[in-house]
Amino acid sequence: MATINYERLQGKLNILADAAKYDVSCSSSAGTRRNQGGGLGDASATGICHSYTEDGRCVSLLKILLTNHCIYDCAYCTSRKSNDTPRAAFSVEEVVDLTMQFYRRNYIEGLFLSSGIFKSGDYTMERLVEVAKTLRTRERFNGYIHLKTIPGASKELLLEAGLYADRLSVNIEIPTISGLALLAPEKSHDELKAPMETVKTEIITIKESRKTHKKAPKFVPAGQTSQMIVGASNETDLQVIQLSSHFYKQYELKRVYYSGYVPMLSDSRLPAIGTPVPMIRENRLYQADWLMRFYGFGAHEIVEPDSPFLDLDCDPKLAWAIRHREHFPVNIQTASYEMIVRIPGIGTKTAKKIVKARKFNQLTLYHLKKMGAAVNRAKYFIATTGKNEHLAHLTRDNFRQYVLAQTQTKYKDQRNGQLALF
Amino acid sequence: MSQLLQSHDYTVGHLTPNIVLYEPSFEGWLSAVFYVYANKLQNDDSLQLIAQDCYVPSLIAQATSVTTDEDNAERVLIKLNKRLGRSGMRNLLWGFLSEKDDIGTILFQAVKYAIDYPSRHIMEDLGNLNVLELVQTVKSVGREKHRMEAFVRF
Repeated sequence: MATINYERLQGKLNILADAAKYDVSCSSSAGTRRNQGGGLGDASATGICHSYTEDGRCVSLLKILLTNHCIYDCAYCTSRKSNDTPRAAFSVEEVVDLTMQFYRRNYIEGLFLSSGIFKSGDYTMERLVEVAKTLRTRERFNGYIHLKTIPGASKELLLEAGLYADRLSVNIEIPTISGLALLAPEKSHDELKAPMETVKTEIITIKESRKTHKKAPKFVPAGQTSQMIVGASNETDLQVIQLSSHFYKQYELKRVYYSGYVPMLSDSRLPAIGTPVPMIRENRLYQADWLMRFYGFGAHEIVEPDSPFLDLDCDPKLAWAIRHREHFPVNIQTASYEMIVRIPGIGTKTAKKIVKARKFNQLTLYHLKKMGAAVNRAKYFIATTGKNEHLAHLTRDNFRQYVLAQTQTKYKDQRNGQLALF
Repeated sequence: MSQLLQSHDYTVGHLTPNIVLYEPSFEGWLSAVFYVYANKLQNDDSLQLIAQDCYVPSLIAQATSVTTDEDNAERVLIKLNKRLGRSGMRNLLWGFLSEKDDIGTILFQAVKYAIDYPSRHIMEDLGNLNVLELVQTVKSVGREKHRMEAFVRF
């Protein structure tokens, strides 16, 4: 094995880890924490990204691109063909070596590997799969591997990737067909969705066969995800949410990520550099996403066609409750779990506690406060056994202003300032 | 104070909070529970169970110290196990391990609730404020354990 030049490797790592930070499909981007003389340790920005599992464990991943050479010229991407930026490429062996070295030193628990498209989709995917295969078979690596599925790669490569990776994802990036046609005319939505369909079908097939054959190989156990950029083109929230809903239903994705567009390139097709990142909009979209996945809301309920953007002043659940006051007040002693979970200020955990506790007690607002409900919001929507005088506001015309005045939004001071992101 | 002494109640009432002190171990607390039930003190609303090492003596309170007795502790443990089951006992132990100052009393009130209502799954009744606080304490101990494990990993 040829000796690896570590200085050159560091140089490559700087370029390729930095380029990878725009992919938020793993929940977190690399941060920088400089050692302020006399402090302990240093969290270098090169490559370590922190992700969180469902039970709250923090998983550190090595997040890099195999190469940032690319044959495509998508307007929103720093690695696009026409952008004058330093280019680098790892060899398969270098990525394997880096991963194992970091892993042995306990810096990481897994690998997040993406890539620009070099020569062709198949050529690139082949190499990604080889990294994963080498790690699993030769190095006996059992950590987490997240691979990007390259659009245009053949079905055989996808199926092979799924044998070695824990999670596969392909980024839709631009939610509308017209937007994609403008910013990345060489790509198409169908081409991006095709791998999702292939992988989804295979996941189902393998799950079925694992029921009868316990020893059947695992295939993408952590499922698929995708990412959409918000604010790069003129998409409405309605379009974003409907597309997400479509992904969840049709392709059974585990999660969809929304990434606020960070203007890094000047291009007449895109927002100018200096345009603030749509942080609040991104947050509202995540809240809407949660409503679909955990609260039983349909996409058509969260945003209606006549006002296709989410309210920035209040969260989508509260907005829905105000628009549909006919469903309230909800009686917490008798209503179903599905209805209780729609009360603003009551989340899934509190709703479950309510359903358990009401068997033995007549619950009051005091109980709810102790259980962790946001009673400042919820009190306008709840009917208890005793009298609740806050309900008087429900039927008044100025209900919306009144409720919003009572609640605090963490964005109140930040609304008009530009936020520094990196 | 004198008005209270002239009360119409002829039974010997407790004018000051009743405090039972136990040695700072789980067996110590169990022994205190045994003591309370053996001396029929359980229905006193102002009863508190406090660990000896965090007890601050008060002018008006009367405190009794209970020594740890293995056999008594065992008897209480067996009875509680029958009532609360594995998950209930885990809640008691984890609650105890939180080392909160008032956990002795909270645990006792939860135990009393379980004994008074043998057919109920009391750990589900989050409307009872003692049970609620116990369950929240258990959650917080779980988080602390989780963070400690994450820290020790590195």
